[in-house]
Amino acid sequence: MRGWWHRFAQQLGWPTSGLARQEALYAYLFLLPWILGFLGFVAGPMVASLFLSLTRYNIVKDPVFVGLENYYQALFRDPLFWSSLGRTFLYAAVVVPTGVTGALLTALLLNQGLRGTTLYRTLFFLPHLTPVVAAVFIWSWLLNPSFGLVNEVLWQLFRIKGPVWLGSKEWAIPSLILIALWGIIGGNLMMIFLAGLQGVPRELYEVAEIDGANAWQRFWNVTLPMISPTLFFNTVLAIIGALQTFTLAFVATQGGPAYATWFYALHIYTNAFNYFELGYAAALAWLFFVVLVTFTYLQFRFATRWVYYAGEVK
Amino acid sequence: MTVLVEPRFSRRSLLQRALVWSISAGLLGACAPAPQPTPTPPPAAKAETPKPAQQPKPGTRVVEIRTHDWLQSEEFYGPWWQKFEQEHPNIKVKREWFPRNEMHVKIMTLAATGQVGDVVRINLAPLVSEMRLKGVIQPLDPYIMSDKKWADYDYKQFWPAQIQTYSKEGKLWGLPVVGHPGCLQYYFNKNLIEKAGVKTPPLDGNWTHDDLITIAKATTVDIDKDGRIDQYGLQPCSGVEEGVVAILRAFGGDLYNAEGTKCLLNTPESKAAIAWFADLWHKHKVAYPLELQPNYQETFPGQKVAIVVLTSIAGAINNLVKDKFEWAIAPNPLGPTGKHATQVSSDGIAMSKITKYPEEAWEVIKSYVSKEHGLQRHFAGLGSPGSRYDVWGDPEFHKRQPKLVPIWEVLIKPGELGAWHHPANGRFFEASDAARNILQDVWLGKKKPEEGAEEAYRAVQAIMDKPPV
Repeated sequence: MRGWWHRFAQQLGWPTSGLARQEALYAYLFLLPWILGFLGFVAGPMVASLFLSLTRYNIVKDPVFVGLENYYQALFRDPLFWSSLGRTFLYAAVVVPTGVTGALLTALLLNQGLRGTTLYRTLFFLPHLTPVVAAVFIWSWLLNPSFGLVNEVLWQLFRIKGPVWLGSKEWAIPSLILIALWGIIGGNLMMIFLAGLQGVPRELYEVAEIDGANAWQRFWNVTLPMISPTLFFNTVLAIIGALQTFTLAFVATQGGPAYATWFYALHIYTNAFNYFELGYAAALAWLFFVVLVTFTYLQFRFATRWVYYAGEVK
Repeated sequence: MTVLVEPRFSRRSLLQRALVWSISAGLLGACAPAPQPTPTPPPAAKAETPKPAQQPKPGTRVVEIRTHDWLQSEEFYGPWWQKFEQEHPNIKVKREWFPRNEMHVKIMTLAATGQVGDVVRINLAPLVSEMRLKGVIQPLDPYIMSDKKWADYDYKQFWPAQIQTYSKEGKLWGLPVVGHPGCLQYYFNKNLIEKAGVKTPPLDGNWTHDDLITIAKATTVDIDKDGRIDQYGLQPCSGVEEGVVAILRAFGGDLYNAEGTKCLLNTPESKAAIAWFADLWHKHKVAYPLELQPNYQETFPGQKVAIVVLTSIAGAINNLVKDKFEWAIAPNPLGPTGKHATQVSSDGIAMSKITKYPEEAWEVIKSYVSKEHGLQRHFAGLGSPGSRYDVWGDPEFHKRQPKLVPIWEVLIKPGELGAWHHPANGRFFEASDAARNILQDVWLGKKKPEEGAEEAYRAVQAIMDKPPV
């Protein structure tokens, strides 16, 4: 009997010796609070929302099972579903490449070992430490078309009538992108890039220099391949973050003017907490989850073509 | 070292004595009869020092009524409820405060968990339908019918339009705490208009849309001749539910029908109203551009507009303008229908369906909707006056808010106010969001009025056709 169990545990990679079992036990014991938290606050609500997505639920009365009705409603009858999804992708299509490139360039600058680098790093990181709501309020003032600093400077210096920024259908999304980039470029992405850059072995640059490589060639053939896992990680995070954008629009424009900044996350929120259509909002959230998972899967799938892991055997 | 004061006790003896005293006091306390719970002393009242509390009659139990509000003014409500408790010694009022923006969500969440309390605040009048359909509140009719004195006087003081707003299926589900005839009160800067050489809006309300355009054109000025308009003639109330509805009704149209089953934005009258409203920006170019996100708190006191359309917030405007210029409030101009179109606005109060103490909850509701509350709350600078004839017609009110007297005389006193129609299926926010966002395209000049009206109609009607919340 013991022999059978031993072989079974071995096959599953479970610890078989007494000491290994004890170690595993301790490991799980210490992991337990997190596991319980995950089950209670992440996995539990996810399962609950999957159930709710199949119901009509207005929070006060009991949920009524409606099958796939909410999904049908979202895909074929809700005029704001596709438009908000498209708007969100448009936003992400600008914010992600600009944000990731900006963060990489900033990290490259800060990695030059110049004097005062620590100070600059802190200064660049400050916008990221500013709470989003506070940042939005400050930017709303700066961009105010009547008395904002930005338009006043444009007028005083160049006699240019600045746009009406957040109040205009055309400029509302660019304004939000501007505010988002202000927080993104010097934020976490930059710090992760900086850590990645500092992990590139110096010898590789020395060899490249001996071979006569110029700065651009060193960046393209040494730096970029070596930080490609970091670049990949940051890109995945940036895409997910951009697609989930909510606070900016919620605070600055409430989705307006005329639905111009009605992003998908705002659509979910409004249905859940303004209209109390919690079942429908759950269905919207699950549809979005599928989109995000698909997108992330595709990124991982194509990552094998351009992401280089040192020491990896292919 | 010189000892200046000889200690009477050593540290050890002091601790010993303290211990003996504590134990003795504890034992004595335990043997004594249980003390009556002492009520928490109320906060100091500025307005009036309440009289000593009446004792409840023997055999009467004291009931705690839970209510909530978005207006957290301890200075006003502390003494207010303290006085109420003295007059009703069997009722304790427990209050909870929520920020107004979150209030409806909080109430619904409390209702979902059976914790909504006894008296429920209705954040905006049309939410009464959602709260009724979800079983959060109960009809007030039985309590009104059993309270003859109140029914004979107080009930008749509420504007019929408000009663109609809060009534569904022949029952009354709430009462207005405060209210006004709508976002259609024309606050005007006398100095700017007179300087422009045109007549100021008449306080008797005898003026038309054409007169309004004339004044607005004359007062829209590029003062420094730099190619940018520095002063606009008009800042309209562009909120669909409170401002635009007044314009729709002035043309004989409306946003919803009285039953709340049909959207009326596609009627010829409504389309004409929408076109006229859009013309303020695009044809006459007299309205403060919406893209500039005008805020009356800045534009009117800052003399950037000659006329701003608002609700009954004369007190707040007084505080903002101070002595900078002369101003007054005129009733809205007569529309093509020849009438002053109105739509009453209010936030209300109701009784929760789960209350175990309906009689006591009813007393609390009566206090919220009383004449005294409607006047004193307004005088304290906490918002609009009560939605009652005896509040707006009160001599003291006229004395303290003379600028609102024309609103009383022309719009309220004749008793022809319009009710706040809203979707009968309880989807007020949903319909309102759709109408606002689609019509915004018209105000911004991105869509033609006809096209915008049709699109808004289709979107709103689709929401009104959905099943009840």
